[in-house]
Amino acid sequence: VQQVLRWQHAPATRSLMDFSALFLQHYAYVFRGLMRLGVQERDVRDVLQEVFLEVSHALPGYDPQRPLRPWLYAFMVRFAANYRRLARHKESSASLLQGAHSSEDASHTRDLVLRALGTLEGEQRTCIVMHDFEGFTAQEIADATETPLGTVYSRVRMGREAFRRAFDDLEGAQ
Amino acid sequence: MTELPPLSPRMREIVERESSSYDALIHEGEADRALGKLLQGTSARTRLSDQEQERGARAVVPWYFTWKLAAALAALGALGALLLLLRKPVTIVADIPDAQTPVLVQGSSASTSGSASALVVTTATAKGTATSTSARPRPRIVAPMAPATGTAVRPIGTAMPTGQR
Repeated sequence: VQQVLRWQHAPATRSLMDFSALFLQHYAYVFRGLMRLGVQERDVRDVLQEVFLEVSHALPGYDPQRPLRPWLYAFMVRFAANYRRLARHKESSASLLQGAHSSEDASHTRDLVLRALGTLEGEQRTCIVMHDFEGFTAQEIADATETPLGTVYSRVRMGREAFRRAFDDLEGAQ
Repeated sequence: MTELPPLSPRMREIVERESSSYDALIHEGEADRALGKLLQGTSARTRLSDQEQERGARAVVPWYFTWKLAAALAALGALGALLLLLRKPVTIVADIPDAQTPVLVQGSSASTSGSASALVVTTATAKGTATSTSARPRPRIVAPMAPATGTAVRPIGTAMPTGQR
């Protein structure tokens, strides 16, 4: 990475340093978020690259007064939604629902969570992930997804119920 | 609008357990390698010019140079096409000497028949064939006309949908 950075011109390097810091600091965060939003593990690194590429283009226009993570999440939501729209991924999601799970406790929980999230409708899933898993406020979700606040509230409410039912069903089926 | 209730203890436990599981998926040094790959790919894929690099970033493209402009133009085009399909046969009222005068409507064709007191005008339009009947002794019929026979046909009206005369 340092070698790559030395190749750049000085002002660009400064910008790239900002971007590099952001990338390294939020890599795991974006990785996790994309999986929660429906990107499968085998594709998550590719989608993550696309997200950060877009972020690198948008970074000069980023207002530092705004909280970073909701801003970042807006990119993730968009790329994950595009990913889910592709039919080949839908097929894989279906197979994921019948997939085997790890015996290890945390990853087993993750499998169940991702499968339960996979049963939710797209926008509902986004709201649940952002609110209940990432801890965003409803207002932050509304701003990031350009959705009315009341809609966010109702999606979280209905999403919670649907998620709980799906999770219990999956857990009971084990 | 009421605030959302906090997560139940069980749900909170599930979220915490699930959150802790991702570290195992990310390998040692993976983020560094991914960053190197992205930075190298960025130059090739987006072809940053030297000038852009000296500015320190790619220029922010105004919205009107983005896909939104293309979408707006496409929407306008689609609307125009729709209007063309749905338009009424808009024509110009003109005097013709008599019911037998053959006429030519620009862009389509019109024919006249019947007597001078009840002239039937048939006009081909994009929607099909429109027929209107004039009960005037000196019929006024549709046409921005170039008379096929050389008979002078003088436009005296303005464009209006057939049937609204």
